[in-house]
Amino acid sequence: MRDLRNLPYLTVLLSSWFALGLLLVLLLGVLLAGALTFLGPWLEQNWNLTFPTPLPLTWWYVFPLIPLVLILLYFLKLKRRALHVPSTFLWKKSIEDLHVNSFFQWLRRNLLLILQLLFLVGLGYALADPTYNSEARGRHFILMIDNSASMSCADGGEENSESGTGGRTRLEEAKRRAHDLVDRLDPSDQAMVIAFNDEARTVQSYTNNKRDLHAAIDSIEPTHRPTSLEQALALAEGQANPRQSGVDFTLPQAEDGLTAPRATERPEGITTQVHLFTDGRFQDMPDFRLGNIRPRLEVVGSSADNIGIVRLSLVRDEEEPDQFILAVQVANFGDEALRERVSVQMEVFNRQGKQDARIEPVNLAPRQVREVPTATEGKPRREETPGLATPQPILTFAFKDPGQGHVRVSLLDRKTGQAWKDIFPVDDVAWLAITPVRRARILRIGDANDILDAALRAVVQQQRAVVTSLEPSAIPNDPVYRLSTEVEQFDLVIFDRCAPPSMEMMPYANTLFIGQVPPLPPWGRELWSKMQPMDDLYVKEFLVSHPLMRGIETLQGMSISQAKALPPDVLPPRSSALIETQKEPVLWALGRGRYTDLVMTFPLVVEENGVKNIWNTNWPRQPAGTFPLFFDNVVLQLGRYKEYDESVRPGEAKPLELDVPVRSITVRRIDPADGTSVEIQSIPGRGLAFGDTDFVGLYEATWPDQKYRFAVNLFDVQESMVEPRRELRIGEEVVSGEEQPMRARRELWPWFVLATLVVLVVEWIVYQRRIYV
Amino acid sequence: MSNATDESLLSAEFLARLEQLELVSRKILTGRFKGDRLSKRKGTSVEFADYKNYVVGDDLRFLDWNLFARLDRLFIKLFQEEEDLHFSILIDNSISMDFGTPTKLHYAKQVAAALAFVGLVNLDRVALYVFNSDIAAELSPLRGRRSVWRMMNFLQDIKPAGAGNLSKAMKTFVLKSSGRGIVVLLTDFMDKAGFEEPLRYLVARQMDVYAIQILSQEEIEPDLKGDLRLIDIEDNDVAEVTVSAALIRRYKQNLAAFRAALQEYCNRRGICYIFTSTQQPFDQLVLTYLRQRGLVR
Repeated sequence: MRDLRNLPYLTVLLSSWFALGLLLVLLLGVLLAGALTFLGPWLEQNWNLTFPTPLPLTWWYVFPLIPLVLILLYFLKLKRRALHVPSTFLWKKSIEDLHVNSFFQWLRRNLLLILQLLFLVGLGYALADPTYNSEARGRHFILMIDNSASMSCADGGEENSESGTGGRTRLEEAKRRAHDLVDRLDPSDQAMVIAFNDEARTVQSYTNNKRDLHAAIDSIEPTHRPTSLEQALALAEGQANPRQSGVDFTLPQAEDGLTAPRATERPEGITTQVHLFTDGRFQDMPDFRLGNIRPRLEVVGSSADNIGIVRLSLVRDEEEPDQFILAVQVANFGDEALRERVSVQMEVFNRQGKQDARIEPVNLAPRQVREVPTATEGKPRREETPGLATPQPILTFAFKDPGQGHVRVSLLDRKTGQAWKDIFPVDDVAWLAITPVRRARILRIGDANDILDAALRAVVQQQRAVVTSLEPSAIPNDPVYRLSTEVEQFDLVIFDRCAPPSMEMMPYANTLFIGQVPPLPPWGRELWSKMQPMDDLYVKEFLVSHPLMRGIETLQGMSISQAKALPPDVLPPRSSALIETQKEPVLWALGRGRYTDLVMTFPLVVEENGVKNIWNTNWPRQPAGTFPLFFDNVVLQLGRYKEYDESVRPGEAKPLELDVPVRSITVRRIDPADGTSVEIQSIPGRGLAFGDTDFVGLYEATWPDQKYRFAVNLFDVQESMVEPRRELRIGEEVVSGEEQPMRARRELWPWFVLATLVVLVVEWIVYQRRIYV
Repeated sequence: MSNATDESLLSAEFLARLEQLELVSRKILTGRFKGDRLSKRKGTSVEFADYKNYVVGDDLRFLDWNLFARLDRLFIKLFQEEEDLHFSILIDNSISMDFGTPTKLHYAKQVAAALAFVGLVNLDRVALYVFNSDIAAELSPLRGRRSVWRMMNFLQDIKPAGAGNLSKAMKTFVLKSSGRGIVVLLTDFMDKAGFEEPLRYLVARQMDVYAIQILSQEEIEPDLKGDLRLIDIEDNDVAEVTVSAALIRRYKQNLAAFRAALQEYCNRRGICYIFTSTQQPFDQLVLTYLRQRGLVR
């Protein structure tokens, strides 16, 4: 350096370097002042830079004084320490000597000044808290991740992928995007994670711990449940405004009460960004009050191409009672008509194995989309109708009653004969369990009765009921009868011309009173004798809509010799007359808690002059078998006999009704088998129910000596219509699914602090070198 | 410094060793009283020096009758005069001497005490002068062992005072002291007016001059840091320095140059220049260095 100093241009450069340094410091200072004042909006607009300084503005007025004071100190050299020496003689000489070639000395001193000024300016920048694209600090996010059935669609890949059926499911894509978002959160941001389908669950409450958030997102598993946003939004709102004191009753109440305003827009409410990771397959919620929630739709999925089974139903063939008729409805949710592409396969399984299999080709029309103009909203509403099978919208299959078994209906690719492949396989298979789940447990109390006996015999023969018979004298002390009054031992108790002594002695079961009435208050046991007798009655009308009258078309010609009239003052609140004569109703359905007491105010047979079994009515002889039909209905409805088991939808609890008391039941999915089984413990006094029905399939419940199958099917047009929605209405806002990448808020002050530290270190080194080198 | 004065300037053992020493002058000097030394003057001692022709008026007692018998001419026998030595010690007590540990002044006093003791023991005429801007105090010539306590008391009482003006002090000294002899100058020579003029005064009187420059360690190896305002303790002159390694280096170079210049000046004029630091044991200085330089024997 010493030699270089002799080079004039370098000296000039070095000396001007000092001036440049000063200029730089000045420029930086002016820039900082500008950024904090007039340049602020421009920087925010063009550079996404903001300066949300935590210092009050008055401090900033004082801040420029610090460098000025520093410079002043340099000029005044106020900081020189006075020191007495014997003589300044040699010192003066030395200074004079050095002054001759003191350029570097001078430079060094001024290098310190520049470094110190730089340090101050850097500190100023750090204090100004420069933030790249910042919004308010400490934002609140709610990540709502849809894990309903339609999210299992395998089109979660990139929007423009060729096939649309990338390996990734929509849920996986949603989780990936949620992970992305979590990564971009500022450390001061709080986020929570909600998984929702038809119900919502908080997977992770508010935290800024990204690891927890990632783990929570990872923990979300797919389900086959339907979607409903309402619960999720309610949960989000409840969590979003934790300081909310409650409903603001000064807000106008909605008329229907259900859509009452929940949120109050209080000043202390927390503005919350809700990111909905979904395919939008749920109802709009125009009545929802968003309050502080700022929803943003993150649409996953791209394709609409899906076909699915939307309905299965089973009826017993009227003509051939040992045959069932299966009705299958298949719908096309895509825009492409499917001709000679798809066939429907039906397989019937009995206890031994496959009993029957049928393949029926089907042609499917494309879906229809209409724009329905709406009066209230500016935009027309989009209405989609799935395309059905042509020419017959409903396919039917007839098969022999397998006794106990199940039906499996699946869609096949007609070309390959293999299972149909589309992005949404959940609705391509459906099951129906054919299980005489339980026969009706009937207790018959009464003397011999030809008509009743014949009817019961038929029922028993058809494997529909188990009948226990007791003499009238068994009431109330027979152990079997007593048991029925204590636990739900029977489904139906038939009192044939007899009755329990009091309402307390009524069994825990539905009842059928024939020629008698329950001991209804206020008369109790005396009621029957108090009732008005009537003679020669004919049926005038009956309650067609009642389930017990299902299938009965006419009762014309039915007559009754003797009957009694039930006085209106004894009728319980829930009572309906099923059959009315020209005088008074003769068949009543009376409610008793969860049970129904069916009261026939006329006996079927009477005893006259010692001759038993004289018919009191011609009902059994009526054409079209209305009496057996009625009795069937009684056994079906009151005896709770079921021919097959209606499938439940994913997420719905499946009640399990058992003949025998058991301690626990094991339930597992057998088609598609996944190997896991769930054990349910029975709780005394409560019915057993299996709630773990998140996935479609055929389930088998096992308890000692018995097996019971039931099906879980999607059967949800909303879910099967897998085309993602690009916008939806929540409250007043139309939430669109446009890509709005959330730019990260990046605080830059640590960099400035780092820079000032570097400057400080350099300054320290320079200062040290001045002394020791 | 205050503590230093309280201490006895010289220890008993050191005094014992000093008794064996005597002052030596490289020049034959004249004294007023007959002393132990041979004088340049011819006198009444037993040491024969020379003959000279008798002229009228000469003391007949010194005629060499033997020579008159042989040569029949009158010669006067000249004898070497034995006389005492004029030994002056000049101590700088300016404030600048009040520096260092021990202070330069204390060190100077110790050296002065040792030399004065030697002189007194050998029946030399020892005079002490204290100066700053001028001669501030003096102790009239003493002789003999019994004057040691007076000399010690005088030294003990010296306090630092005033700014130094070496030149003026020397001028005054030269005017005051008529006789020639040994002059020991104890100072730091930190005089902005320079050292040439004061030394010239001494040289002009053909004195046997010993210039002992005493500097403190702080002056030789300054341990300074940072930005300082150096204030001259004597004239309040200010030097603002930003201490850097280069400056320290430059200072040391200047000090070395200053010493070299002083030495050269002294050598050329027959002045014995001795440089010492207060860190150097003064007994060592007296017993070793001054012996080597021929001041004591």
